[in-house]
Amino acid sequence: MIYKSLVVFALIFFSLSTIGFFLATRKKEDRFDQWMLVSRLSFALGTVLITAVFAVLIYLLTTHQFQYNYIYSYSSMDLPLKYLVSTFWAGQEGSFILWIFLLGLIGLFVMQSSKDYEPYVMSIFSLAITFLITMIAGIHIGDITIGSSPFKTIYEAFPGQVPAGFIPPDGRGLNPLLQNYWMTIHPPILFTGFASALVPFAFALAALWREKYDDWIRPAMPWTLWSALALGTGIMLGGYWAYETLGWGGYWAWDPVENGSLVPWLATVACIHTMLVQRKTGTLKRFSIFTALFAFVMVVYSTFLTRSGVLADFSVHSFSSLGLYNQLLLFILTFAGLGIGLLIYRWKRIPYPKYTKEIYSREFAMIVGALLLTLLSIATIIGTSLPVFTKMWGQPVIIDAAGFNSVALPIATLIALLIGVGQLLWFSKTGLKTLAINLIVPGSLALVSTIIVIILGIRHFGMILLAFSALFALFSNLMVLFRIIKGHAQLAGGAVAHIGIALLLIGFITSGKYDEIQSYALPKDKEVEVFGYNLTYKGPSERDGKGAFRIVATKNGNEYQLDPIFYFSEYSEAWMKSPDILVQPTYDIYIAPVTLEKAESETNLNSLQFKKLETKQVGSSKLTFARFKPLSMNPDDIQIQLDFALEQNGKVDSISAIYGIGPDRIPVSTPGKTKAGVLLTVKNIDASNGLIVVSIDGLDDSSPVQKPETLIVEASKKPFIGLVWLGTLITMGGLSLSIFRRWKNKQIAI
Amino acid sequence: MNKKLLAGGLFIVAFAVYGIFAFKENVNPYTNFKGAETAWGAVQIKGVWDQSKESSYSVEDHTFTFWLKDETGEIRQVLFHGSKPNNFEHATSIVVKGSLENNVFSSDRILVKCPSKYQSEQADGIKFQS
Repeated sequence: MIYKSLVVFALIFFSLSTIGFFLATRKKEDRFDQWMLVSRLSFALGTVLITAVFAVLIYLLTTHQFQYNYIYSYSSMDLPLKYLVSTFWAGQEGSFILWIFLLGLIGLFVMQSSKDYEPYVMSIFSLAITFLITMIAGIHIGDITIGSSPFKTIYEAFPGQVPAGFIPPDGRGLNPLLQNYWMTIHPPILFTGFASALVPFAFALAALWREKYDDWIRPAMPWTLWSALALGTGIMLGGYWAYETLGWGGYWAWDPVENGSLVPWLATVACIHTMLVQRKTGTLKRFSIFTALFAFVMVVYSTFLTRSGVLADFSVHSFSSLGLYNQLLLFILTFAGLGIGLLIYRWKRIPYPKYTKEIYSREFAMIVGALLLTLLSIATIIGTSLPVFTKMWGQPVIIDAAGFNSVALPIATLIALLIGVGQLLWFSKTGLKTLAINLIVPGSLALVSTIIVIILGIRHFGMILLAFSALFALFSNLMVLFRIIKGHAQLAGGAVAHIGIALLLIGFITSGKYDEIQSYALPKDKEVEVFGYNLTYKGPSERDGKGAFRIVATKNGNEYQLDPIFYFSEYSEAWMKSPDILVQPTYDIYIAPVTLEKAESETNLNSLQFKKLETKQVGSSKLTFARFKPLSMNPDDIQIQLDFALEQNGKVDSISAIYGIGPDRIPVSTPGKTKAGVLLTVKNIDASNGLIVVSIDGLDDSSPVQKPETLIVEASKKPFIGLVWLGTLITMGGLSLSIFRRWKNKQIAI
Repeated sequence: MNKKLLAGGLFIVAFAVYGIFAFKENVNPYTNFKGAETAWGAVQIKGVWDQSKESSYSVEDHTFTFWLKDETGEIRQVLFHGSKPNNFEHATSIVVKGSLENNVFSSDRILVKCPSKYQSEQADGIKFQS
């Protein structure tokens, strides 16, 4: 109860700061200073309370307080500390707390630094936090419950089913798929991105509010860059986790949850470019505001899509519904309404100075690039939402990955071209002639490399175009980087980030379009050639404390160990499989386990077929079907005795088994047995062909194994997939450089 | 400026048309086995795995065969070009994408819906189990 009241008081404080900051924005307010003081205090106190909520949930998790439903649902005694921490954001309530906590911290920074923007920006900030806290409030008003509390006890969650004060001895544990290093750090990073996306939104809205359309760019810029950095890193970690853990072989599936973080990222990157253009030329005021508003509205919208349950039928990993549909709907409608409404209301009054630069300028390339990014993000969100809306008219329409790919392909190609040309134009200030000269080196390098990749086997026309433009972007930016690294190294962020994007696109082509996949049977201790490696399955092993299978791969005298995970999870009541990856500089060999076929030895043979007087070698023994003797031919009770001779270690034993068909046509089989314990069972008699089928069990173990234990794997070779990770890392490095430069030059206000 | 706006507008319209066609080509309507008989192109069918019938994985063809009961109760064999998905046993429902070929539903994509993936229970209506 005391924990719930922390949430309730935080809700009160943030509501108060929303109202207080709002009142302080009114210019003629006499009590401006009082309202500011009250609001700042409320915001700070609210953040302290949310920090306390955050700490309490960590405390409850680490001390295993299973009387709380959240703790019971996601954690268990046997989890090590690192996974206990990640159970914090395994469910919706915890991840809402994380989000609110990060918003509170960022809000404190913004409050310190936003000067005369403070009451505007902070009232929007407080409003967003207020909405989010209602999601975890768990307040009952009459029959209506607002939010789902993380501090709900088992008794409250299952009324009448357990006694009051019930404490289960252990929790249900964490989904083993989430018991992974990347899943410990992925959510906090992604939510940092979601939280920082509110800063440009709040500043853009404040700009409309105050009708000051230029001076919001500077304070909002570092947070926009920061948001792009955090979202991008979060997306990459999520993709890497999927690649490494889920075992379907890829890192991106255009799933709604993935799109939910991609769309805000695209919008944020578009926003960075429009802001840069606006600062340089004074144009694009509307577009900058639109992209800043759009990015955060998309954050809220994808939260709605994935957490309200509307996409439950269409995504592999949407959260199931917690009954927050109405609250989430109100949240998205409020923020979209505020953004779109105010933008439309002010639209005519936003000045649009003429774009005076020529078309061959870096700024023009950035404008077109930002437009393309925005279009791609809009197309992606439309494609993601289609099932929700088409469901209202009947059969839901679902766009699969191929649909998204074909929309993204031409846009990515154009963007890569613009990245190349735009960066070169930066150097060719004097116009077309210098541009032409600067184009020669990267253009011809790209052309030559494209011809090489065509010779190497790329035939798809769209892929050839994308390869050319990505290579062109790569060489142009390398050239730019080369020239500015001396003297202007602090400006290198843009070139570095764009080199990363170019590499990423090349990685998409090679790993997405030109991977090879094949399944193989690996009999135990036998070498099988897979993509030039000799793979030998060695038997069970262990990785990260989970059951796995050891595979040894050799090539040119080098030996590698692979341990794809394969074990039965009590939690999921299913077999859990994770691949293991042999990482090489130019490709990955990706081994995903499929199934294990048990050994079948001759000592346990199931269906041996015999004709009369036939002798079969069974391991080191010989078995002869000697004769059969009808015991009863009464149609209601047929009984036949079958005599076999078993020659084993030079000794001959006879075995007699009986096969009968009872009155109800049901076969009855009585096994025969030797003194040594060999058991022979007749399984079927095919009278018309004179065949009998028997199984034999208990022969000497010395007999050779007929069919060894066999591991079936799905192997794929993914050329240059490392470029996807390397490209993302380089892009994030470039963004970090840009943030660092702005911070160092004190261009930003914090 | 007007020319530029016009060019921009045309560009956006062109992209919208392209986007609609690209999406439309890859739209796979939801239906059942009966609907799949008459459908043109790939469809998606939601159902549950019929565990009473045999399912198997073939290494040579790299295919997984099982029987699916669609929402109308019709049971048909599904030939999935790939390996058996993780958590297949645990699925509350399965969505297959593909088309009917000789009375067998040939599928290149399976979506396995597991309730416990992130959220282990619904907000209400679920029995407590320890």
